Amino acid sequence: MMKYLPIAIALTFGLTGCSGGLYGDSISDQGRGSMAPAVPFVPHIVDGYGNPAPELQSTPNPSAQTMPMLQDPEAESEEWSDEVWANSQEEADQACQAKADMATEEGRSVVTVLGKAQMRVSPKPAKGNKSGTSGKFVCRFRSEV
Amino acid sequence: MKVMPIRPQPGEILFYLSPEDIENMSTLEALTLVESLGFKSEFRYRSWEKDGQQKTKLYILIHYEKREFNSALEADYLSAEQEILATRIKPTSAVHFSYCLKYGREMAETSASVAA
Repeated sequence: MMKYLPIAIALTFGLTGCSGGLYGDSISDQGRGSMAPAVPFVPHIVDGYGNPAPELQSTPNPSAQTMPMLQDPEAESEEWSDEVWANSQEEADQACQAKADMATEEGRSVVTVLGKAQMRVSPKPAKGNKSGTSGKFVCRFRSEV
Repeated sequence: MKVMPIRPQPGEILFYLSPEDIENMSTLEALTLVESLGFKSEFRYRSWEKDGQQKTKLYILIHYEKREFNSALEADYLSAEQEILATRIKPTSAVHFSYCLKYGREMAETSASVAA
């Protein structure tokens, strides 16, 4: 059983080591088709949450827009984990996003959540007069260095 | 006072509180609680600018550790202390546990079976 543990861990975390994140691999190609062909190169511009910047999907001249904080596809990225307590998967995902938002504001570089929070200890629902306890979840984040 | 980093560097483990976010006890009570668990606390801060205004937030670092990056965090490492703090301190978002290890935290046999 134990000999398979490293494999299981590797499968769980995939390629999400703390450093050495692939440059620009969070970048979406969505919206490329809707860009005007006159724009020679506006690839991979996303908002702080990995979504294509909405203004750029419908505007042929992105340089005329006031830009939100954008990810730089050339920037080196770094990844890390943070643990949160929550009563459900949805609550855990919200807690991860709140942490990413706070880190983005406090660190002044875009921090994004990687995937869904992974449950490590399941929440225990309330029974009788006893109150329930929160479960523990792991959030994964990526930020530009 | 030292700066509280936004993210752990490779190999680092950071266990800390954000006392401003704690709603059910004072900072002094939180300090007493973490010291009763055997931690030595150290104040840190973050400072940033937003909308032209300088913001500062205080943190209490209760555990710092640096390991080999190519390692994993044991499944139960500081879990009991985490659980105590997450039970006593509200909201739990004031309790932070961050790490940057290549293999993350190991899965516990018990939690894996519970999850299944």
